[in-house]
Amino acid sequence: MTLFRAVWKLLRAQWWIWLNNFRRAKGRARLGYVVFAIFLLGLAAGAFALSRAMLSALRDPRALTWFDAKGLGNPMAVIEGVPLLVLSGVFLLTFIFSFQVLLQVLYLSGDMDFLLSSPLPARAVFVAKLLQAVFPNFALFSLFTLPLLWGLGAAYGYSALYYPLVPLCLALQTLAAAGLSALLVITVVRVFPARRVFEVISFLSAMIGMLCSQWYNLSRGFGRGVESDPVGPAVGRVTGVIARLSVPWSPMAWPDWGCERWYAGNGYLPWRISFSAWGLQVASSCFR
Amino acid sequence: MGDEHALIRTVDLTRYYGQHKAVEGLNFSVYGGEIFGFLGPNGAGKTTTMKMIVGLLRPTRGQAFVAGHDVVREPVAARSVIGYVPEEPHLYTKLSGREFLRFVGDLYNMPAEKVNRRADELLRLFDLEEAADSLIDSYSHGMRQKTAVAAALMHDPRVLVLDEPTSGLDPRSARLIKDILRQMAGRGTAVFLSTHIMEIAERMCDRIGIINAGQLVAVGTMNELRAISAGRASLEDIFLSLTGGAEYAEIAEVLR
Repeated sequence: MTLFRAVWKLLRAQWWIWLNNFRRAKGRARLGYVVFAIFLLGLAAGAFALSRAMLSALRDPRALTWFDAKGLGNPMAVIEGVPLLVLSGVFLLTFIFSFQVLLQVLYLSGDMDFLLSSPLPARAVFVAKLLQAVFPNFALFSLFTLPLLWGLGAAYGYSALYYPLVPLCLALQTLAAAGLSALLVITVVRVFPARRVFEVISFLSAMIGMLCSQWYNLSRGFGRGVESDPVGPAVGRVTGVIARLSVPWSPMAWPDWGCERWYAGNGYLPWRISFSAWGLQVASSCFR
Repeated sequence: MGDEHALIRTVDLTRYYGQHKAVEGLNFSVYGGEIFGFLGPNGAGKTTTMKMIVGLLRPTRGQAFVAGHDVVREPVAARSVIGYVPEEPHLYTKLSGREFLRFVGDLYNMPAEKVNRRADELLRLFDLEEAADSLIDSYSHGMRQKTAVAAALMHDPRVLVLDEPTSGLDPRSARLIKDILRQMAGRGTAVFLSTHIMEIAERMCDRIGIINAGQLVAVGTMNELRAISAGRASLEDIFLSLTGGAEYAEIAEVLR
């Protein structure tokens, strides 16, 4: 059985399970799912309109004059760096959040023995599990990043090729990050028991979550309140971050170039695809 | 029978967990048409051995062959002839019994028409017809166990590996599974099962292997085991004498 066929079978079964959940849900719950889906679509449409309006407004000469008068520099540097910031964020967040999920689906889920005792290549099981694990995060990130990036394209009149490239780059970015995260999981599990690692990560996640939620109060308590003029330093910080991220050797910068420049004739997207494929290839060959 | 005809063959099969020796130097064969019972105290290495045979665990040393295929070098070919029922089988509880069997048939590359026919046959055989379209979520323990065995039989395997197949089953369901295993063996399948129930092993199995502390301490038919255990009559006595549990039996006798 080919790898793709085996992966397809496993994903189809997952889809069937999801569909069963929906079909057999009570009428009210089913209606709730539909309303929630419509709400999410509305949210995405709103985010698209908002980002398009805001980014268009920032191109207005009056806005540029205002920024100049305030000594905030040129906002165009930040705007042009939006894809890089967004895609870098997706990469880092996927890498971090996928670790625990991948640990769970690859080593602690009950169906692994069942799947690995069937005549499926172990690599297919790995890829299907990885896709299954990263899909919720991908969907969540896409809900916010796609409208923003498409809004940017609409505001700046990017060519039509930009629009399909954005989700493609997001997907590849997610796969690359998840592949590296899986590689880290596989390495860690060879040293420490998976269940113990999961417990430690869960505890740390809870602690970090609590600390993050209290960060504002804590910083005020320690006398580091909100700055009187947060915009100027924030713009400076963002441009600094973009400059640091936008280097040729950083994988996080490639999809940005892929998105923005590939349609203009530069060939970074094939690199991006190769990188994602390589990440998955290495991780899947290390599995089992 | 020569070892080359064995459907399961282990050669110096060994597995260590760190420094802990789980299984060491297992050499045995299971032939088509026989039911081989695998007995041992808790933690003796039964499940580890079974997992190595189905390719879920990589041996530290040695090899396991299924239908002539090395399970490490040719895992897909080996697994395609195995039907495996673990001690706690995983079933997708959000699928119905029929959907689950169809999914399993699909995993084994069976043609759709054959999958449907086989699923219907097995659901009827295991008395699951009425619940076939209900979610597995709603099944009792016995129904789930029967579904797991049915799933293992979907592709008509040449080798069946079952870890405690009758655990938690009512007498009727246990009897049904025993009858089906006997029928499978009658059709040439090699059945390799572990059990704690001596009565099942004694009455069902053609040959029995006893494992203790990771080592195979005896293999043979009931008569052969009696011969090496100074003529002890029951399998329970033979088992206790070989696995070092005889002293507990004596204590129980004194307390009686």
